[in-house]
Amino acid sequence: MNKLVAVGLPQTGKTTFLAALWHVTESEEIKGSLRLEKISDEAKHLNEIRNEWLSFQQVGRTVLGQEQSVSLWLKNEQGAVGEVAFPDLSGEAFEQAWTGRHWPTEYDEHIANARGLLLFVHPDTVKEPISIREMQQMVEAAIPEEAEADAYEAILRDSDRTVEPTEEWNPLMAPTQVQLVELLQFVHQRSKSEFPIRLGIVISAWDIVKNKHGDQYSGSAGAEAWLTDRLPYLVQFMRSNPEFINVRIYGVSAQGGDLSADRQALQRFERTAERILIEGPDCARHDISEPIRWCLGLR
Amino acid sequence: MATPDSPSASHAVPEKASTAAPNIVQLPTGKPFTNTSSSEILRANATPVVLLVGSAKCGKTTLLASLHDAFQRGLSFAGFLCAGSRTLMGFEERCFESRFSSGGDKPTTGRTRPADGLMFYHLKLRNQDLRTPVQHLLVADMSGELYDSAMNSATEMQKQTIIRRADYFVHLIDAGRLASDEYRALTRANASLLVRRCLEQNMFQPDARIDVLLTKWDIAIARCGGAQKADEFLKAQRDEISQQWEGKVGRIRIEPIASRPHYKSKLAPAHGLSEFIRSWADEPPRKFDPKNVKFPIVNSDRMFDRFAFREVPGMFKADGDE
Repeated sequence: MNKLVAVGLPQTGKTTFLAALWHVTESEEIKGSLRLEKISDEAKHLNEIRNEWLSFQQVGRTVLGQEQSVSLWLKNEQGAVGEVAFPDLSGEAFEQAWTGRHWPTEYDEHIANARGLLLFVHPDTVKEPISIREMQQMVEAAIPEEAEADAYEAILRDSDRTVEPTEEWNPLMAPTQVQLVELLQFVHQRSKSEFPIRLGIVISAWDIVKNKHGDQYSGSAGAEAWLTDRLPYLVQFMRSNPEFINVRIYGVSAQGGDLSADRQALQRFERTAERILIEGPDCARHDISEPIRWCLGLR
Repeated sequence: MATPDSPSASHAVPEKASTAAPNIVQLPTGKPFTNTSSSEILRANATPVVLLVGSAKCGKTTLLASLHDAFQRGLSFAGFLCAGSRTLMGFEERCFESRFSSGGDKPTTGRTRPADGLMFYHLKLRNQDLRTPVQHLLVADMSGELYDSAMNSATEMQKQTIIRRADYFVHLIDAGRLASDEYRALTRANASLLVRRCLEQNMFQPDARIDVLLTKWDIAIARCGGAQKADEFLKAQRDEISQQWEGKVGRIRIEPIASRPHYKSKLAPAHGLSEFIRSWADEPPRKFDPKNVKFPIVNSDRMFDRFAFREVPGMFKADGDE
């Protein structure tokens, strides 16, 4: 069996992606997408999350301890792809792997046997390594430039000043890019698959990026450009470890837009799957199965 | 398949995850290594060791934190990509007090505690053209207290075998204090005493590479009253420091750095560090010179000992050797 594992920190869109994927493969609304060969014996979880997605609701996120084993029997133009296991794992477990330095044995087995990985990043939950210095410089930029001597005086005054942080160190405060690099290092250490592993990075809620930045991050390389700007440490890790991972980056809006503000527009699609937005290498419009194709080595 | 220095090769290196409880798999701690665990990395890879030495608050930990931080600010630093680290948690903890999320209004660095002794931080670097394999680098942070005890006692100094092993002995001197009338004499005397103690205790091989980093250069510039006067001050410091080392080690470099300059300073973060990290990672590690290893004089009747003593007398100490 082909095993793909979706990894990522909490609330990064893993379950919503799975709901939309199930709909696209089952409904065959998108020409050229992977299709369902047969319905899995156990499809309760898939049906539940798909119903939420079809009802324009937020898809319930996966809670630690209540993860579901999901498998899809897929086919493409050439014939059967086979059963693809796609365990819906909780983001909390990956967060705990960073903070508590352990993960469940069941996760370990999934990771060990995964042929490909999908790593999810949500643009609204990225923690960046903003320094006090950067904030001070931003404030400083609003003030008229001062004489060099005054700047020296301020430097010397501050050099004698001792301060204590008001917050206590907590690993959860670490930047997202560092947590994700550590997660990939854990995968590297625990994987039993042959390297390089195919890794699809999914920037979820891609509509947020498009609305905020217009055409700045457009086209097949738009998602990679966004990742490079926002998580350069992760990009360095990817580029410097080609023996371990082979990466493609996708911008995906599985919901197609904001469920409150864009609701009516989203409901107007005759074929619901056409509300899906995806950009990345080899991506046909609305075909959310493309990252799966890539991870399974069908590209 | 992976190359010898590629990430998969490091499967063999320490801190392997293990199954601790029936339903839990323990993962590596990500904290800095102690001497013992780092030795496994050293064995598994030809890893250069950079030893940071200096009095308390001279900027050792800030240098470490700013190296990690520099890789997070762009797509490369000093021509390297960061290919990972086994001590990410340790680096992050050291960076925390300089981050906005700490709630502080002045960037600081959590000090290395006396009990920490010697802590090793790990970096995996790769040239951005990817034409060479991943290079490992261990940067050791010696607590100010360990430094003090080594200065105060020859016995303690002898215990610091890492000084002999290190590929780079990096002596950090607070240039902000050197440029201050109040602290100049104290700072200079302590720095000089460390060098003297090391030399008298034969802590360096003839091929030792010494880097003297004059830290907090932004403060030194402010104290000198401008960059031009600071350059004159730098020249004077270089003359004085190199005089003390001259002819006693393989190479000495003396440069100013500002790991985390004040926000009003014109210096950029990690000022002066890129050239050093380039050479620390790129130059071949020092080869321990076997000619300098001498065994005690043989008083044994064992045939092998007598044979060795007769055939290769240079391996053994002569009468009067220390």
